Amino acid sequence: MSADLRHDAALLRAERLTLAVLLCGVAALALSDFVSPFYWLLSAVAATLRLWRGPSLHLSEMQASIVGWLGFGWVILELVFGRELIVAFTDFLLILSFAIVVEAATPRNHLHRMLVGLFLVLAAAVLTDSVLYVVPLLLMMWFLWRAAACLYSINWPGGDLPAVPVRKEGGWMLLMVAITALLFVALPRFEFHSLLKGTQPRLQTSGFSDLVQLGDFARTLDSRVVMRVEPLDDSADGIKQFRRWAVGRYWRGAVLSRFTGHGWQKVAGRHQFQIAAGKDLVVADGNKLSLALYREASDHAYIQLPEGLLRIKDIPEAIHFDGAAAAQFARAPSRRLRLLMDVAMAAELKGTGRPQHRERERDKIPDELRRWLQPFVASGEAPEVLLERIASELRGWEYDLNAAIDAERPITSFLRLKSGHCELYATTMALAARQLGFASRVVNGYLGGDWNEVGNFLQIRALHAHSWSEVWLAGSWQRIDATPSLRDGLLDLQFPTLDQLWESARLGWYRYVLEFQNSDRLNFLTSLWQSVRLYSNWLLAAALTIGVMLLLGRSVAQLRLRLRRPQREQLCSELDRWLRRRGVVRQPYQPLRHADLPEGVAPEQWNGFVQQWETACYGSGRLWKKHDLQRHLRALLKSY
Amino acid sequence: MAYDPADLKLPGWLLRVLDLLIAIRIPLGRGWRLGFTRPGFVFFSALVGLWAAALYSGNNLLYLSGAMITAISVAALLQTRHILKSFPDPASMLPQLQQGDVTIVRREGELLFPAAAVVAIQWCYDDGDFSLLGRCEAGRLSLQGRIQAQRRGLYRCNSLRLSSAAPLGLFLLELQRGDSGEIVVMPEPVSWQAEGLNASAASNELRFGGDEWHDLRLYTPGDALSQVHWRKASGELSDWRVKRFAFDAAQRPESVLRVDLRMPAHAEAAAFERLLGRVWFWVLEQRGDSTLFLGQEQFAVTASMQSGALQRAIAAAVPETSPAAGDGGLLLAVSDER
Repeated sequence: MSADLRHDAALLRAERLTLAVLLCGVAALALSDFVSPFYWLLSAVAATLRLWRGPSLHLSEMQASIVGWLGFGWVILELVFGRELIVAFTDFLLILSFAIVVEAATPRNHLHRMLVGLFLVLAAAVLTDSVLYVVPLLLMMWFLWRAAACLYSINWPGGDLPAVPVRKEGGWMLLMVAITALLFVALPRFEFHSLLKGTQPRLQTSGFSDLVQLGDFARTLDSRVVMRVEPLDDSADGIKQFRRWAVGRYWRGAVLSRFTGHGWQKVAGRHQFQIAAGKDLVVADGNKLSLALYREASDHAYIQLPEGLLRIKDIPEAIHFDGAAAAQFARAPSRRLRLLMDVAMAAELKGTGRPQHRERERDKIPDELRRWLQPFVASGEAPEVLLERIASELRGWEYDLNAAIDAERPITSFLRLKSGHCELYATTMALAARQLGFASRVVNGYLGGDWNEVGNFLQIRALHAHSWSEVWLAGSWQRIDATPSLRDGLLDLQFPTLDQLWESARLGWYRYVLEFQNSDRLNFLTSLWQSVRLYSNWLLAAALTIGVMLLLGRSVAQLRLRLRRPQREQLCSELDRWLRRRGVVRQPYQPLRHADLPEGVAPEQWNGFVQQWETACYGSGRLWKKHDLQRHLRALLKSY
Repeated sequence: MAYDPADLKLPGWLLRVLDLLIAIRIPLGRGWRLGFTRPGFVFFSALVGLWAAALYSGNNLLYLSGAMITAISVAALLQTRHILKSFPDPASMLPQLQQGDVTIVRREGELLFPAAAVVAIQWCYDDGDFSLLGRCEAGRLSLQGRIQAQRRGLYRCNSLRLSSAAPLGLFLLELQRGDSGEIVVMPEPVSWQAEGLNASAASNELRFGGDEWHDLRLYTPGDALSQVHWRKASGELSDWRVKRFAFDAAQRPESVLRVDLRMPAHAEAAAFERLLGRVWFWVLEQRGDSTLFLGQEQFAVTASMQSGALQRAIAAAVPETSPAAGDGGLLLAVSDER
């Protein structure tokens, strides 16, 4: 105990640094959506108070230990009351970090802080995928280095070592960042799909299930991005071609065949097959355009398939694919996934199966709809023409997300108001087609998306969710979208440029960090090389400027050093230069008498010179001036 | 160092295992060896676990964290390497030592770079080593330690072993450098006065090599047979005596000391050491220009003291078979030790 007290003063110097290490861990974990803000705020506020009031504000080890155990008991209670295990786990970690923050500064406490801080960062690596994770990670690199160096430097015989100035450590920090990047890119990836894969809360989306009530679909249309799509060919032509392809593109998700009277239900297709992870889903062949789709973790298992899909390569998890051209993961993934797709500019993705019995059912069609159709039928036109007329009629109505639709009789209400959202238009169109004798169904998916000018990719948001109908016409399924085009323009962002920048950074993070795979290494190096070539002039200029500045800085530093360096060091440098000119390289620690004989000097003369040199430099003789040394060296050469 | 897993109150057996593990040194080639400190081993184990998790799961954020911690380790090792590689030759900073004495070393020097490190220095010679600590702080190097040399001699460095856990206290990097420095350990000066032979008095009286008979001394192989006192000689070589004559010259004979390094038969090694102790005492007493003939070598005392050549010669002196060179002056020989 007395030894601890004796070292207290020295240990307190490490207080702030180890606290910073722990806070980096807390900040990293706070980025996870599984973490309750109350718990991470607890640690953050305690740390702020401690930094403000100093280490006098502390609990003893025993008290802090009791806080930790109470936290453990509290988390058990949380679990009993139904809190999710993963959330309870993060709660416990943060209560533990709170106990360590308020604990007295002892060697054990410093160790606790560093270990727990490190563990929190690692836990956050599994529980978050935010681009902001890089901030606490880099800060931790710095603080861990400084804290460990600070702890190393204390309690040595002869007193504590002074810390190396921060400006001298900048170079080492850059080196560490470079090594980190190098290791990250170079090391091989193995996919075992374990529990340690990054996980995240699934986005809640309505309308992508096997049973949808009318009014459920796209109930919350917000601007959250659910998919990001970018071309793999990032040349100007490739981006231009992709952008042309992406405009107004339909992305099909759930295909619903059975009308229940209040909604739609999926009917399992006759032709359904499963594709294992790592295999390709091949739909068709043709001239392809390769793209990468980043799908956010959603609470549904549907993969949104674009019209024109040819192939999905290397499927990350097993999927089911049916004759209605709908693809679903075996279970909704709990993490972001990247899907590599080949698509064609023109090809249409259609269901291959013939209509099922359920897709012709008319018994649940509301009477109001039948009555509304009578004027069309009475015209005596061909059913195909009537379909087109009905669609045109519907497109002339009003698109209104907030129309006062009666939940009990939605179609009746919609026909009366002539106003509603896409789900009602698609349902009305599909039921009208059935009434006219065609098989039909409703498809829920996405339409269009907005283009990110900064990152050159397509963003598909929750508000781009869309519903349309498919009708069996002339032996194939034809899409009929009866929704008015006024649906466009739902996106209303306050700072669109900032939003684009942020989304672009996130995509870069997903592309280059979260989803980096073995196959990306070559692409990364190639694009890096292309960027270097593209900006070679600027890079060259920057390198030259930095080089000149470094050279100047170094020269100034050497000059300052030389001005301050003792005369003997200057003489040694002068002598070493002279020796190098005569083929002798002497190490800084090597005595002159053990150096080789310089060229053009007689051995006896050299031995005499060495004796004189040692007398002058290390003995009690007068230290030579620079011109004395030069005179002796000249004499050596003359004597040969 | 202020952090150690022992502070975490780990069980004793675990600490003993840790101690066994940290004794391991992994050769890296070219004289470099790598080891761990206790916290370093814990850190390294955590790093291995982290990489195992990253490689198993393919979680890129674990890769990033692992790469970050590995980068810290690599940077720490590179910094230690830089410190050890540029560490100056400690032998040139050491003071002159004396046989049997404990020398407290506190020497300051300059470093070419700023560092906060403690370097353990092990200076190995033929049959032992000297250990010191080098504290590097803010561009200054300070050597600290205690050295005790049991015997006189010129301790040539076989290897210099430098090791440090700086800058983080996690990895212990060791460099075995093939330095060729030397440490001079002088004999303990033996006062002539202490044996009833005052140096200054002796310098007035003992002037051998003249014409006047002075005394007898033990025969040493190499002595001229004409100087052997045959009437007192017997069959045993150890009983032979040699006649000595006092020097009778006008010059200052006290400024010249001739040391006969021959060992008489059956003489003890300690006598030779005492002889050198007397020589060293005489050298330390000199204030003006003096000359020393140490066996066959001649030294101008002031100049050769300044260059250190005389100290090295005395420290490295071994028995010879030839009589002392030069003429006149005081003559010291092992046989005088009886």
